[in-house]
Amino acid sequence: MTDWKKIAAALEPAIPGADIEKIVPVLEALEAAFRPLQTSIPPGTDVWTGPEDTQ
Amino acid sequence: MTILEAAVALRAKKVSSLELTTDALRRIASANRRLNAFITVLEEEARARAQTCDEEIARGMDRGPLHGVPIAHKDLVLTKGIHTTAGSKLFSDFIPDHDADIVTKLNDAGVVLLGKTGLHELAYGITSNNPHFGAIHNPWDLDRIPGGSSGGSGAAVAADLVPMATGTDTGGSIRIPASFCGVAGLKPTYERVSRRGVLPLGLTLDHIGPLTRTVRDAAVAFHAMADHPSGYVPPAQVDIRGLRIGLPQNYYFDRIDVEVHAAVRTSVQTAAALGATIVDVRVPDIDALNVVGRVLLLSEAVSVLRPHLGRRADFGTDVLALLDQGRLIPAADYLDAQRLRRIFIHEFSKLWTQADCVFTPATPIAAPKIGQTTVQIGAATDDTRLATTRFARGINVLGVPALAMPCGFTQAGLPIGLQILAAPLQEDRLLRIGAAIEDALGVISRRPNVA
Repeated sequence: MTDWKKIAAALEPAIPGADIEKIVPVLEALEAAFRPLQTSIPPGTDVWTGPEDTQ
Repeated sequence: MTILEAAVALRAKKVSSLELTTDALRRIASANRRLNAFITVLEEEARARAQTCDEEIARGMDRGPLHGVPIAHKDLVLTKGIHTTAGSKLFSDFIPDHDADIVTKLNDAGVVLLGKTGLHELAYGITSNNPHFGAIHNPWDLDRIPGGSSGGSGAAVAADLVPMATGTDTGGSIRIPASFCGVAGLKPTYERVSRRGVLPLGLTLDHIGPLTRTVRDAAVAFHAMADHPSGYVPPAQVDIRGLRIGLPQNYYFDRIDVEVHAAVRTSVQTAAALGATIVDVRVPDIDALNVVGRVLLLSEAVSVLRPHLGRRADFGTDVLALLDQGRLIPAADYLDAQRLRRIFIHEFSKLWTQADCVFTPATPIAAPKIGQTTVQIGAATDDTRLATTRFARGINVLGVPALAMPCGFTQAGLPIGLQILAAPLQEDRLLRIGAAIEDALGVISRRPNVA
C-alpha cells in the first residue's frame, strides 16, 4: 500500500502532521477499494474524454 | 405559488410581478432568520426588475411562463455586479463582471432575481453546515440539515420563499437537498445545461439544474436553462401506460431506512397502477462506481482550488481534509478512474435496453440532524457524507439525467425522496413519469410551517 505520509511530507504548501493523521485512514480505505478496480481495466481501454465518447 | 400557477395568475392580471416579488421578499424577511437560506437578498433590484416585467406584460410582451416570476440563484452562479461567494472566505469580496450562461438565459425568460442562496462551502459537501455563513436549516425540522451542497436552494423552495432556485450537482448536490427538503430537483444530462460562469468543483462531474416545488415547474425551469430545449412540460393528464420502469434487485434497497424503502416501493406500485410495466433489473457495482467518483472528484477539486491551497485557515475543516486527500492522489490513479468511467458508462447503458427508466431511493435516509457525523441504518453505522451520497455520486460519473422528487414522509414528518434515472438526453421522459407519480401520490400538498 502507498505510504501516504511520505508523499504528504514532500508537498508544498505542507500539510500539517495532525491533518495528515486524519486523512491517512480515509486514503487507505479508498486505496483498498480502488486498486482491485484498477487491475480489472482491460488493456487498451481509453480514458473517457467527454459525453460524445459514450452517448 | 408554483411557477405555473404564477404564470396563469400573471396573465389573468390577478397578480402583478411586483406583488409576487414583494410577497416573496416579505416571506424571506420573516423566514430567513430561521432558515439562513439566503446569503444575499436583492430587495431594491428585484422590485425594479418586477416593475419592468409588469410593464413588459402590460405591453403584450410574453417571455414565457417564467416572465415576472421570482427566483434565486445558488451563490456560486456568477451574477454581474452581485456578490458571489461560493459559500467561501476565498470569494467573500468577489463581484463578477459578467453573468453565467444560465443567468443570461433565465433573465431572457423574464425571471426576477430575489437573491443568492447559501450552500455548503465551495459546494464541496452535503450538509450545508457552512463555517463562514452558518448552518442552513431544513424547513421541515430546523434542527436538521437541508442537504447539500445546494441546501439554501432546497430550503428556500421548500419553504415557499421562491418557486424555483438553481442548483449544482457534482455528487448529489441537487438531488440530496431535493430529497431532504421535499422538492423536485433535476440533474440533467452532463453538459445539457451550460456550466460557463458557474464556479467549478468537479471539472468533469459538475451539472447544473433547477430545484422547484413541482415536477412540471422543474420542466419549465430546465427548458429555460438548457441548450437545445424541447420545451416539453407534462400535460395535466399524463399517460405512462406501457413505460418500462426498472426496479433494481441489487444495491439500492440493501442498506436503507425501512420508511424510505416502503415509500419508494409505494411509488413503484403507483407507477404499476398507472399502467407502467415494472421490470426487475440488476445494476452494475455502484459501490465501485462511487469509488471511481471519489477519486475523480478528489483530484478535480484540487485542480480547481490549487491557487488557494496556501490559505489553509480560510477553509472549513471538512473541505480542507478533502483537498488534502486530493493532493495525494497520483495522476495515474485519476486517469485510471477516467478509464473505469468509460467501462461503467458502457455497462450501465445496457440497462436502457431493458427499461425506460429506473426507480431508486434518492437517499437511503431522511434528513440527519445538524452536526450529526454518523447515521444509523439498521444495524450499521455509516459516515453521514458517504451514506448520503451512496445513491447519487455515481450518477454524476455516468452523466445520465436524474430526477429527485418527494414520494412520502417518515413518521417524524420528514420528506422521503425518490430518484428516477433515464438514458442520456431523456429528461422529458423523467419529467413525464415524475409528473404522473407526483399527481398520483399527492404528497406535495403537504408543506412545512416555518412562519
